[in-house]
Amino acid sequence: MSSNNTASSDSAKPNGGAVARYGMAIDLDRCHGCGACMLACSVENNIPPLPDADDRKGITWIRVYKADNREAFPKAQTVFVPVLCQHCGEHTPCVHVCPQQAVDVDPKTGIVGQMPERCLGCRYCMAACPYHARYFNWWDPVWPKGMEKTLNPAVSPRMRGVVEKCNLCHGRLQAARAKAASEGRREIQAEEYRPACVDACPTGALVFGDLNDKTSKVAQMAAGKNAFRLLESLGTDPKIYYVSKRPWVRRLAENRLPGRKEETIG
Amino acid sequence: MFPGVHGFHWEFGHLLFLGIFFTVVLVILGASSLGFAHSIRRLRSERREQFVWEQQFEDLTPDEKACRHAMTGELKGRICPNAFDCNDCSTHASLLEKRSVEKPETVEIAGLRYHPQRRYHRGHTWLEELDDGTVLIGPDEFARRLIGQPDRLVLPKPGDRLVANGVAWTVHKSGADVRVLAPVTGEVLESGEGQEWYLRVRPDSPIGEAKHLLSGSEIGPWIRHELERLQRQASLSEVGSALADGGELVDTVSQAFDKRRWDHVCSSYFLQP
Amino acid sequence: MDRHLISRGLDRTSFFRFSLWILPWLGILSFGVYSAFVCLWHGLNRTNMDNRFAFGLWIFLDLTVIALGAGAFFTGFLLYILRKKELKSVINSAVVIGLICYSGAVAVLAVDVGQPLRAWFTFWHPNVHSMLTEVTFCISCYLCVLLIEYLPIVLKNRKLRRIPSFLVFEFEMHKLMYVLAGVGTFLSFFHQGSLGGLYGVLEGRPFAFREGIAIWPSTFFLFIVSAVAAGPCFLMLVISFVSRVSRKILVSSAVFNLLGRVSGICLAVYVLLKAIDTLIWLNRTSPALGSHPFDFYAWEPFGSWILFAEIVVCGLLPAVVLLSSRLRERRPWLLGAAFFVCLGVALNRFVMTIQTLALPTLPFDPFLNYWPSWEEVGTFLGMIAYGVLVYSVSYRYLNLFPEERRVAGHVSEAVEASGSPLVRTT
Repeated sequence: MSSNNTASSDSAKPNGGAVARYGMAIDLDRCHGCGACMLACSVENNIPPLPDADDRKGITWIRVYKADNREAFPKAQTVFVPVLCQHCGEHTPCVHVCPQQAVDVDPKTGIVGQMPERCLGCRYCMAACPYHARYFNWWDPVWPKGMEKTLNPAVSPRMRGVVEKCNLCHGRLQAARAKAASEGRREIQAEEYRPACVDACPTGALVFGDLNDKTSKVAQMAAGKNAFRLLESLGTDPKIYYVSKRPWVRRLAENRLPGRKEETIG
Repeated sequence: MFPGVHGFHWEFGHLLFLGIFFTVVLVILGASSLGFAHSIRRLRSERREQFVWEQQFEDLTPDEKACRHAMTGELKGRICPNAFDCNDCSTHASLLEKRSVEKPETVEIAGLRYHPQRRYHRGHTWLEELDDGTVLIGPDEFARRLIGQPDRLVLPKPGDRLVANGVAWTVHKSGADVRVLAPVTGEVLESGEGQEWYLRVRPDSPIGEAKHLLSGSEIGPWIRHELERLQRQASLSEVGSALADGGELVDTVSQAFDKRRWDHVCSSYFLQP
Repeated sequence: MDRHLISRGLDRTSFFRFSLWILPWLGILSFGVYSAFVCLWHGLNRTNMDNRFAFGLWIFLDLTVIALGAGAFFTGFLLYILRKKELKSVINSAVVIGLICYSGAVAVLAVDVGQPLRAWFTFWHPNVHSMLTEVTFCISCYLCVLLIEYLPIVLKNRKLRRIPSFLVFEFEMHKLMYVLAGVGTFLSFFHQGSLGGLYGVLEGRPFAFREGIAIWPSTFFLFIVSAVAAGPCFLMLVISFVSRVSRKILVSSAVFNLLGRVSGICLAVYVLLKAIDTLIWLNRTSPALGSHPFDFYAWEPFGSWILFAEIVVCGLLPAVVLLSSRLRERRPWLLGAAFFVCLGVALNRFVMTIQTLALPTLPFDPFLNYWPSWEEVGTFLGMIAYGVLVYSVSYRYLNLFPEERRVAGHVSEAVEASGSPLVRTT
């Protein structure tokens, strides 16, 4: 795995397409909260069943939140927002704070990778992440008898006491690269690498690709006028874009007290 | 941390941080090693016992460290700065010259008898020189009455070495272990259990040179000073000169104190910090 | 029974009564060890921390005790570097308190992290951009320094000092104590600061994030100053408590006066800096990150009363008391102010740890509650019991208060008023 441990390396710069910036565009007008993405993610990434977990201790690398516009009937509207690791670019909060350098930003792909083997479990990165995208293994991973047959051999399970998070199904990226190499190619094709959640989404709300590739659908969606990113004012430069035609949904980008007037701040 | 680790490369931040860290570690290790090395050197030096005594002396109370000339009234309130080693003390030398020649006579205070031919150590032992150059050592009257009948007495065996201001013998009384200090450095020839003297010792250097021992007109003030201290420790009010009307020090002193205070009293007079 | 181990002349209670004091604390310590064992064996799911409350009771209390243990380095600095000789009477006590606080905090941290056996990874793969790396390095070094400073105190025990090599080693180490005091001050400066820096660098949490100088956010400096102010206060509280329990005057009031005055000055500086920092945060830092700062205080129970309590009740008021020489003379005022200072430090660490994590960062995030589980409380109680035990044993067998004999005045035991039993009239 070609990863550079320097914490100061930012997201890869466009370089004639040789360097990718993998990201997502999520169409919030299409997401209806089925949760197929969450399920597919758990299966792909060997998330243990964790029977004693509640919603605060469970592991959900991608998690669908529900928000509404706080209006009464008939104006009441709901939106479902899948939140995963935003793979921040500039000033990645978790990379800067890990005392063991167990997180790094891959300059070739822009993916923020977590090394559970090096993680001490201090949970400082979890405090740093504003998107709550990081999850701690509060329990030992235990699969009931027979269920171990469902484990994905391409992904190693994590031990108790370490932090984990979405890595844009890095195992699939490796598989795509291996396939390309076996066919004598140096570049992978766009459709050869897609995370499990994107594959599973029945409405096509999740769109994945290389943001540096201006012709890709994800780049076009991200550049559109209805696109926004969560908590942009924090300056994290995330690679996950959200798209919605509804203005109240776009206002969810910033954390404001409900009822506070929209005002320009900062 | 080191270049062998995959993907690592040095930045200024690494140099600064690790530089400071290793400097601090070196300072800590250096200071500890230096302390350790100095200790070894001091332990190996010949002045080792003298040093141990000086450290013990430091931790005595001001009362216990009173200069012999302060007790006789020649100086006021002076505390010995030399751990009772009067050999190199210029104050002692100059005051000795001013003293008149005295006629040696027996001193008796509060029933305690002190002999003119004997020299006395501040740790309440006496020393008497014999014609063959050896010395007899024993506990002085104050020590005898203070301890009374010892529960157990442990004397050194013939052939053992004594060091001045080191431990000569150990007395056990009423739960207190008293380690009595030796007045001279030398080799034990004989132990005199059951006699007035406890040890016969061949000293390393002639007794005449031992300036740190008290004799003559110094004895009286010294014993009075010790008795006053004892009186103060035993009573609530400061009855300084209650002994002036002539009573005798009893030999059941240990009964006047509870175990806690008795332990302190013993250590106080036998100069154990 | 153990009189021969106790420094002579010091009044210590009987072994039986000492055991009565020790036994309940041993019980609590055992409970603490058991709680820690449960967490280590079964996993951290036994705590009530979760993915939102990544830091809980342990981190909050670790930060508090490390701040309270700052008395060790600061007293050492005042004594060995600034040569305030009166502090000789409390330096031993301060070192023991420091050792207890730091070793206890490190022990609790070992239970708090998910993989304690990987602690050496921080040394092998240090991330020099992370405040936590800095904390780890400094606290490890400082714990060593404290152990080396504690060793001479142990070696001066009545029985141990008879061994010549121990006596000599103690003497030589004491000669070099100023080096250790200097190193300790340097290390403490950095780790107290970095503990503050932990929160100040969190750009993802606008409540905690602060601007600063170079790589150090303002919380770096605020934590140092508040620790320096709280250290002497905690020292005074502990010594008063020990004095009260043992019914002895252990230290002269001049020393208390000095500690109170120094603490007052540092506290006044802290209140000023904190007020400036809060104003900058309210008007510039927080809005720049897209948050209206008083939004944070809209969530009950963490209203803006917390800010008032931290700066005024536990900051300004005690500072005024401690700076007034008239009020400092009166022990209840002095100790009351000291208590509020320590409370203020605890409140500040609480706000930075718990309130920061409770506040929602995403708009569809709720405000969250957290109550520690019995395992967490048990572990922490175990740490307190450990501290009490170490201090009690040190107080009994070691010379923690060199001035004790002089200050108490040697009041002897009562003897029958009818004549001295020492003298028999012939």
